[in-house]
Amino acid sequence: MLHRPASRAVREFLLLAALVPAAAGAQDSGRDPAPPPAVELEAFRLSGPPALALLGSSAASVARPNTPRDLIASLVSGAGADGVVPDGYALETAPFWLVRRKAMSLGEYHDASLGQRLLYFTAISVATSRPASRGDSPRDARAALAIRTLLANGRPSARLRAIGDSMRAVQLDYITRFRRWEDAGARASGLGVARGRLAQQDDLLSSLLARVVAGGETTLRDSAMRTLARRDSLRAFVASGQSAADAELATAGELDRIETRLGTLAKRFAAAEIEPHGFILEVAAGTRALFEEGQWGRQQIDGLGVWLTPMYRARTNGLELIGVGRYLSRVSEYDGRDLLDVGVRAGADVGKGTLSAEHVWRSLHGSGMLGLASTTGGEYRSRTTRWAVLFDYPIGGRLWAVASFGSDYRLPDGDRPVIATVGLNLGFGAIEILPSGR
Amino acid sequence: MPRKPIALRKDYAVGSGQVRLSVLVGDRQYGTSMVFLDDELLANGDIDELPLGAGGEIAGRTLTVYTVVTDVRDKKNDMSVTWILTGGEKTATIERSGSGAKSFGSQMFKAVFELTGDE
Repeated sequence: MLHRPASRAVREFLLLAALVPAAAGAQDSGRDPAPPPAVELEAFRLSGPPALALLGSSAASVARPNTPRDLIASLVSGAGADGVVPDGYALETAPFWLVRRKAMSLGEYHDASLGQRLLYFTAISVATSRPASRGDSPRDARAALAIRTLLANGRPSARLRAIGDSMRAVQLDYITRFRRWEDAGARASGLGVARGRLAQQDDLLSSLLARVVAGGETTLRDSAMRTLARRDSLRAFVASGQSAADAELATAGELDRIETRLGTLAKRFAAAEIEPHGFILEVAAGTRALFEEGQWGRQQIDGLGVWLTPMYRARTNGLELIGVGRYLSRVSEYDGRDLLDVGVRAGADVGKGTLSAEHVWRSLHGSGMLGLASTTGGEYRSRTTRWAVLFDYPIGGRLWAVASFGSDYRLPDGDRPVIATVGLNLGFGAIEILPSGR
Repeated sequence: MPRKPIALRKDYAVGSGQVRLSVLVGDRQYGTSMVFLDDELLANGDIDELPLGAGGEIAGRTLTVYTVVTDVRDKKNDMSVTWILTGGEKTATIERSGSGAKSFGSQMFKAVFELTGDE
């Protein structure tokens, strides 16, 4: 199994400290070097809602409503005021999970049929973007609507099963100790009352003994003996109850520790659940509209996108294969031309690290909005490729060292940047690829 | 200190046939059970159609089912357990719901069935 599968990488924030800057503009050394383009190390899978990808933007936060009420509230707040498209709104929701699924067992979820998968894993996203207004005049805005789902979701990984087995053993231990805790609690119940009665019997016995010894009231002798017997019985009961109370307290501490252990395992389980083994096929599609002057009522369709991402993770040898087929129309980076990417990446474990290589073929279609000529006046190339070799290695905790080299897509001005980076992945947070059920 | 269990106490009228127990952990959470007839451990783990015995043999005894559920969902900690008893005079399907005290927390569910026969 890959220590750091590519699919996880896309869910992590990648901080590239460019210790070795990319040698951009290898073919054109006469101009001032442009800043190196952002190197998208692993963008085969959508890292966020496809609606955001259609807009070519990233929202500060993505609303993920969990209930119909949350969904309505989010849509109302996101609709904007005065019929104006808001800026930077993004929402993704899985309709099936908007209502609670009490009858859904984990086994049913993992062994879902195709129809069930479509229900479980289909998510709808919307997003908006609007450039900053100049003065008081609202600018054109864009909004996108997209859908994604998993047509195949592999099978639970060996890691997930191992964590599940560990959880089961710990849960059984928890139940066993819970019964002990219950039993000790039952035996310790009434301890306070018994202590009170013991104190009373002690006082009574003292009084009786004083009167028998000092006053010579021999008639109280039998009464004193009965009180003594009751006192001794209560003493034994209190001692037993105290022992049970001590055991209850100690067992409660053990249960707390076991619950903490279960919590740790549960987090690992949740993380492993979204990286199944076998064949996984993620599909997404969406459309984008332009809103003149940012008004909801003045829209026209201006683009669409389709993503097809097949993956295969081997069960034992750490091999991971990812393919991508990606079609986006009217891409602003390419003067509004249409873009088609087809690529493949293979990764495998190398010691504790992961070595992977990728190759993507990109072709551009259509005349675009600004004509075919590039900014340098040369012929606009309609085909380009990208290849890269990537290596990452765990340093400790959530810290990973990453390195890559290769050749990026040829830019519209004819340059072909070299990919050469060394950096650190700090692994902040995670974006869920699968619907979480909320 | 552990949280109070989500408890269920019910009578279940057995007949003459084989009585069986299933425990379903819902809300896509992870749960494990231990089943006791009086103080005798009958089974643990996933409980699916567990034979408890013929009605005549188990009448008058107490069936106790402990199920601990751990929240394994990233953003939702709803939990539910459903106990299904079959083979008696009627099928009993009883559900209890709860939630983890915190994200990735655990919750104990405890069901006690007094197995009753013809008096």
